Amino acid sequence: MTDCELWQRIIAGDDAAWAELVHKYQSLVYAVSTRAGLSMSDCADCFQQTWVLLFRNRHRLKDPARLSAWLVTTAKREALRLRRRAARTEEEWDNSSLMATGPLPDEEMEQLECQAQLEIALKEIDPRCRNVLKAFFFASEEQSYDEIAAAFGIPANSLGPIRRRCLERLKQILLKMGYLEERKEGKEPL
Amino acid sequence: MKTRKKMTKGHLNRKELIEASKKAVGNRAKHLAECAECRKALEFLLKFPVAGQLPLADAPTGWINKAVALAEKKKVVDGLSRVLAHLIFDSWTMPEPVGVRGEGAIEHRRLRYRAAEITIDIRAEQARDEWHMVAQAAGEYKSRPVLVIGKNVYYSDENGLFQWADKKPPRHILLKSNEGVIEFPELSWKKTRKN
Repeated sequence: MTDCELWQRIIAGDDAAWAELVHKYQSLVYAVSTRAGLSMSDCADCFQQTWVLLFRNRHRLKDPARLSAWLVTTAKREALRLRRRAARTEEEWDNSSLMATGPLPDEEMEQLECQAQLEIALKEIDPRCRNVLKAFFFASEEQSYDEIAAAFGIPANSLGPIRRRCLERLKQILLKMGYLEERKEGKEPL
Repeated sequence: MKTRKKMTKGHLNRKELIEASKKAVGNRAKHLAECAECRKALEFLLKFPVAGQLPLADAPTGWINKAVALAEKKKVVDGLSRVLAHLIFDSWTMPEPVGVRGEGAIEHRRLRYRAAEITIDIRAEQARDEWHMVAQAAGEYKSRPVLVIGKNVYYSDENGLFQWADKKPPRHILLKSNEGVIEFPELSWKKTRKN
């Protein structure tokens, strides 16, 4: 289900849709909250407040297709607000140093959003493709082509076409979810 | 056929793809130039440069539940059918058995409420600075109920038990499900037990 479809159900008062949305993007909001260097309790506040703001503003959200970007921006703002508050409390607040160190660079936030979208799309793909793509692109240790083929118990010459088909399926899911269209700005489509 | 065999044997992994894309010469660069499958894979890697990153971690379950419950809370405000639970048992109001001193037992409390066809048991135990609470609702439910205490929402585990700990024991409790809300009378935790 795309974010727009989910959002329509939320606006109609569907609690299950809201729960689905929270589960879909919780790891993204959590990632933004934790990367801001907040204390655990501030991190919990940041996480919670982001969802509160989304729910409170649900009738005002203009473009549900950009929901993940909205969440990242809001969580980032909240995190910075909480950082400032914590710094004031500790009397260590130094505006210039915070700006200079750039605790949450836009590029990093963009990458988090991109990663979350990819992980969401991977959940939608069949288990075999998911495992193949994970082995190729997300394995923490670099494996050779032959090692990956052996791990899946298939000949090495079958793996190339499987990888291509799986990538094609992933692309279709990303398009269906509206993630790829979103990424078109300034970038070539896959 | 020969060409294909040669090419598939030399397919590139993630690291090799990135390296090959940076170099104009060499076997890997040559393979990349000739192999459509590897070019497709490289395209994806460049489009999603997060590949190789650790997966994003899940937020703690309690945080997620709290965020999910935002929509539930709204429903309470919207007004579902409300039933007031009545107290049918409180261990603090029971007389002490002969020969048992009250001081130790005052740190424990058992309560039983009834509302319509639902029986709710609550067990409270004070340990150091915290109260450990366990609650169980027995009865017919079409949807999974949640326990709402102030701003916190608790979900039952697979055994139907709600478990939580807090510095203060609860005063206002709501048990919510899609069928309605059971409201508990305000709980007093003053140790006024009669010996």
